[in-house]
Amino acid sequence: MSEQQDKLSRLLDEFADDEASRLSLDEVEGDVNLQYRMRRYQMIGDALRHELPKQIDTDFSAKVMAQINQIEDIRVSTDGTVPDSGNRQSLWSWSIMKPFAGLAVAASVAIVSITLWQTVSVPPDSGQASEQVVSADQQKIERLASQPIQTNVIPVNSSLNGGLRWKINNNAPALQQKLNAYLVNHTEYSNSMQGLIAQARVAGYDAKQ
Amino acid sequence: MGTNLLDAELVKRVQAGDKAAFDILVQKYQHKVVNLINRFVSDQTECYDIAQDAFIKAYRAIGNFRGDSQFYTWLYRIAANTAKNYLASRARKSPSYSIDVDDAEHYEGESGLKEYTTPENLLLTEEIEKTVYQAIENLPEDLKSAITLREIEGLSYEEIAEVMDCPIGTVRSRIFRARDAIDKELRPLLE
Repeated sequence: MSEQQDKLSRLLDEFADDEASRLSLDEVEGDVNLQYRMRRYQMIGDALRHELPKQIDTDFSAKVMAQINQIEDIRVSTDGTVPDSGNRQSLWSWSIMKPFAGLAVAASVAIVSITLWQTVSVPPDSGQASEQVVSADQQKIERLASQPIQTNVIPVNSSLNGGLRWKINNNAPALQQKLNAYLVNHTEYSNSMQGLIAQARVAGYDAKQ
Repeated sequence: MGTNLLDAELVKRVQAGDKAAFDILVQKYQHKVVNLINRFVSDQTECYDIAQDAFIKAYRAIGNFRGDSQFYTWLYRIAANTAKNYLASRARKSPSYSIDVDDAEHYEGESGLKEYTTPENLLLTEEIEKTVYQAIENLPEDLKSAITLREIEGLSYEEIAEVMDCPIGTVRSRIFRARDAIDKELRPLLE
């Protein structure tokens, strides 16, 4: 294990006496623990150079890879030219959009049907009230139809293929201590906490809750 | 393998269809890209969104990357242009969303909290830096010097060997042991 870590360190610094003394990219790509370790080694450098962002998104690479996994493979042909991706891209767009387009049409038809049914089933003497219902529903239909179809929304709980997802260890004592201080200070000086009595304080942060 | 030839090898792999190789590039440069975009856009949430766009654009265009410049130079230009385009389009657009009065009290707005804006994430940068610096302070002098010369000064193994007046193999070993020691302190913070 230690020898592997040594080789990884050399790979990171692009230093090698020979190919055998350096970890290969194949080994790194095939081992998620090695990838996490490599990323921590890089993070050490980022921290020393103060290159860490003010706020870290621990799922960033996973989100990028989730989008990339929806893109067709990039291939460079043997003569060095890149195949024309224009048509392929539009084909990809249509093939992905087709089911969503179908769903959007079905949803619109359903809403229109419900609206018509409501109009027909409303008693003849409801007059102005029914006209208001139809008008409000019509506005909703128009708003729905005008919304662009989102094809790249990544739900928070989706399982993302590829990319590293970091999880912060909330039980780390140093972090707990800071979170406690953060919460206590925040409630003590906040003037805008609705429903909270001024004298009340948050006792602490319990990661197990 | 010399300077940035690792990037060149990764790019070649991506061009051959290896998406995992692109993930390694994302991991390596994500913070640099976010920091660059932060010079244009102050909101951290937007920075990450723009950074995501920039990496996707880079992936789509990587087939055309010929290696005339370093990969990060090329990526830098894409990220900077993406940020500028975002600012330009934001200046052109007026707010276009509309919501019902009934929904207004529950509406987060376009700049609502993203799922990664948690107290833990907000403190994470500070905690990582503090952990790393404390770990460095606890290292023996020779390990501290080696890792500092490598990571902060950016010297090669050969240059460090010259500065520290020791064989290259010793430099290699010191840097690895320093990283390993710091990593042991950092790992409990990140699962």
